[in-house]
Amino acid sequence: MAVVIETRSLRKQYHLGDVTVEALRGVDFAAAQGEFVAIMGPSGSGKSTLLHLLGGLDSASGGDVLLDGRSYTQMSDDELTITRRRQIGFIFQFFNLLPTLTAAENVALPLTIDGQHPNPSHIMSLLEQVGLADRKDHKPHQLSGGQQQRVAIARALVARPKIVLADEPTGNLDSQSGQAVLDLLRRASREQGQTMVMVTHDHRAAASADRVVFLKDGQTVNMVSLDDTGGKTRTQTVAAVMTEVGL
Amino acid sequence: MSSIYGLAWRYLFANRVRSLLSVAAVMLGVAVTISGSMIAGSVREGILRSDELRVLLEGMIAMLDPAMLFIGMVVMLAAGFLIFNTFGMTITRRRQQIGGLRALGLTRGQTMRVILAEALLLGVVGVALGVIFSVVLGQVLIAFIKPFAERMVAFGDAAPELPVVIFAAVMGLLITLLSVLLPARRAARAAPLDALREPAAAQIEPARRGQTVLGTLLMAGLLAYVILMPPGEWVTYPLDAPLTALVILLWLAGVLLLLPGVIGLAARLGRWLLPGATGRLMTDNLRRARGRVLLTVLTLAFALLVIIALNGFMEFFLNHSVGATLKAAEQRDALFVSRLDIASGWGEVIGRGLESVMLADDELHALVEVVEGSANYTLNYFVVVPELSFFGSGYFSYMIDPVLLRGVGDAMFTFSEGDWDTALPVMEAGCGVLVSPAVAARNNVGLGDTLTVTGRSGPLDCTIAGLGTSVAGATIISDTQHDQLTDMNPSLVLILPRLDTDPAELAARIQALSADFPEIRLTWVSDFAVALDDSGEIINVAFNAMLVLASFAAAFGVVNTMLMSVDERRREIGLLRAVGATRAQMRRIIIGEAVFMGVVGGVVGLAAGLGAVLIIVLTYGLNSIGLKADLLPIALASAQAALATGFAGLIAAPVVAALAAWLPARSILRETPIETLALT
Ligand SMILES: Nc1ncnc2c1ncn2[C@@H]1O[C@H](COP(=O)(O)OP(=O)(O)OP(=O)(O)O)[C@@H](O)[C@H]1O
Ligand SMILES: [Mg+2]
Repeated sequence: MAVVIETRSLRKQYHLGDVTVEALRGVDFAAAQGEFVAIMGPSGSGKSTLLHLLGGLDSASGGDVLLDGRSYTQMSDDELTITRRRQIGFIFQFFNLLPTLTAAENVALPLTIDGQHPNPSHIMSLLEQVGLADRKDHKPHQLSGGQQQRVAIARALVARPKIVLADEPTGNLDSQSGQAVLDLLRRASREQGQTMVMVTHDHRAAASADRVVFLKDGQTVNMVSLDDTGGKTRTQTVAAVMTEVGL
Repeated sequence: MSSIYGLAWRYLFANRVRSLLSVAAVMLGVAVTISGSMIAGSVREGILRSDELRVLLEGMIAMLDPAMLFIGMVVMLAAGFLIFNTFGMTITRRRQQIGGLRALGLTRGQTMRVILAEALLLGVVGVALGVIFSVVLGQVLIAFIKPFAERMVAFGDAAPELPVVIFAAVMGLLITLLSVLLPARRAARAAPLDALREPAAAQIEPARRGQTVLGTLLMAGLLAYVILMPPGEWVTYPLDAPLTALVILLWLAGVLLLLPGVIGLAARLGRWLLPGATGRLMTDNLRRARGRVLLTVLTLAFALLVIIALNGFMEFFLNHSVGATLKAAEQRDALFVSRLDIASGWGEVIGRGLESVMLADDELHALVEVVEGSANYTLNYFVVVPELSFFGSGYFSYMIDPVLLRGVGDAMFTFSEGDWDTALPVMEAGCGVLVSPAVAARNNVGLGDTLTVTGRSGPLDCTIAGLGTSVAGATIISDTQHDQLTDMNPSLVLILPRLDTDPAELAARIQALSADFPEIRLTWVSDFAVALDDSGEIINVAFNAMLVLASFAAAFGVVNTMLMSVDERRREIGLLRAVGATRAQMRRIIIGEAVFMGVVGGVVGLAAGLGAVLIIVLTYGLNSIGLKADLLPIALASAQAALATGFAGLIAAPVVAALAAWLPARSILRETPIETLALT
């Protein structure tokens, strides 16, 4: 399958006074069209950092990210922004919604920013898929943390982006709604051919993916494909690798 | 951190820009107050050097001090506004932090003290810098005004006076502390539980309808009242000033009540004008964060209002009130002869003394010989009688022979009470005076009453022979008690050509006298009126220079709120960037919001300012100086005169606001979305 997004020896350093934190030390990562990739790793291993760089939200200290073969470092800020708007959906770990907009307006945001007039039925169907059709006119402060997260997922899908990047999208959810979210992402990758990259700490969530990438100290340490697990369940396979890499 | 006050210091340091702006505002307030009094002091000094002539101008100078003080206070208030705003906002954001400290055992009293310590520190630094800065500012302002004003006044040494410095310093500190009192109380009330709560995202709340209705009714009612039944038609000294102040205060209260509704309405209008995401996000921001938006708009609107009101008032005062007293004479081709050269102004005479403008005996003889038969004339002695001073206690009065006075009649005095037939016998019988109603009211006397005034060799009983308006407002005293009032010659001869005389031809004959008497000058009253207008211009320039400084304080306030407004919304801005808003779009949202506030502030300030001019003129009226005139056309003309300034302000307000927003927008948009999103 065609590679949609890839990184080439991607590095990210944070400078805190004299101290330099190496958040990513040369990561090579690739995801194909329609592929669902989970990223796992201990806290502070660079998962969120990698996701931010994949989304073009931050500048790398070295290396490059290519989306459909186009290098981020070659793009102007406006080109990169338009790319984010039209090709990338992002679900943050925290704070996802604008407080003054309703759920439906938050979902439609990438389209309205793009100057489009979103089709209300499109927005409603997305809200239905995340189980919030009856909350469309609610403001974020009238929604629970999990509900807010689900609105963010609907927003990430609204522009039918090539790639959706999700930072612990199920972290705040009970297992039932968590499962619903995973099914949704799963379906989007199968049916719309969208690429999903999801950071998670939960091996059951990771089991929904086609492939799991393990990060440690800013480097990829392992990678398992869940297409063929040789008799074991996907969950068991992920758990086994997790033990292997010391998670 | 050695004590809880370390918290105060740390917080101020962590918010350097905000602290600096607050300090700068206090500094400006103190500096303007002190330097304003320095200007007045310098002018006074320049005049004191010139013996008796100062009496002619002292009245004007007496007005300079309170005017400068007023502007200083306006700047101080603007500073207080800014500090209140800053602390109010930061404390909303610090509730969490303060709640945490409260949970750890910080008492309410300690919380209060920490915040008051912050304010005190800002106040002390601001006051200290203000005192230092005032010396420079005072000199710069004087250097700036001097070229315009030298025609009219002389300048002496300028030095800050200790009582004024102390006053300004105390006011600076007091206003700083008062401004944080409310925010500090709010902070102290933060419950330990607040530490656990996310700060509530500011929600859009509609303006209170009742308040809007009340404000509209109040403002419309006031305007209707002053236009339909101008209080200025009946009110007179000493009620005129307090009544005007009362009506203006009510007007300002109306503006305050109405403003939230206006902002809400304008936001809705903006939403309609700017469909699409940017317009929506922009107007949403205006409709929440009410306090911040309200304060910004209010700051801009009030700055503009004060400027317009002052300009309109100056127009009224110089051209329709006191200045208008010259009109009667002007209409009849009046001219006067004196040693005063209008082209070089009064400034030239200052330093030479009143004797230098006194006309010599031979000059007077020659002059009377020329005009006798072709014109009516008066010989005007300038005397100073504190009780009869038109304003202050040092303004001059005319001493004139009653029979000559009757000859020029309306050109010198217009009655509002009494008439020539009753006045003349009184004036011929002894010391009879023609005064403005304000002077009569101040001395608590009416037509026919006796007033004891200060003469050169003791008290002198004078009778009120009439009430009304004279040229330049000055009281007219009959010259029957000549020696009691002066030992000098007349300084001015007013000449009113008879109807069968050609004024130009008479003027030529008078002009011919200068061959023998080079010192005398012939001036058409109409030219003098123009010169007086010019002097009015100078006062206007001085006032406006000070007002520009006041506007700086307002601009600081706007910069400050914009900084906070952007800072408050870091995460939202980051999020918008993340989901695909370009830098240009974000700039449009942030700056557009500011421009919007500027436009609303400008429009409200312009409308409220013009309304204030109408109210001032229609309420204050002309009774106190004894003029009778239809007030509404004068009010409209005064408002019209302030219109140019008003429109300049209308354009300046959005520009100032846009610049204020441009700074924080630029710095935040340089970051990557993740840097912006990060909680700092
Ligand atoms: N803005 C920043 N400034 C300095 N260091 C940072 C910053 N953001 C992240 N780091 C550091 O970079 C490293 C990787 O952080 P990252 O957020 O990517 O971890 P993570 O794998 O997402 O962890 P978690 O599972 O806890 O979310 C950490 O050591 C972190 O301390
Ligand atoms: Mg993370």
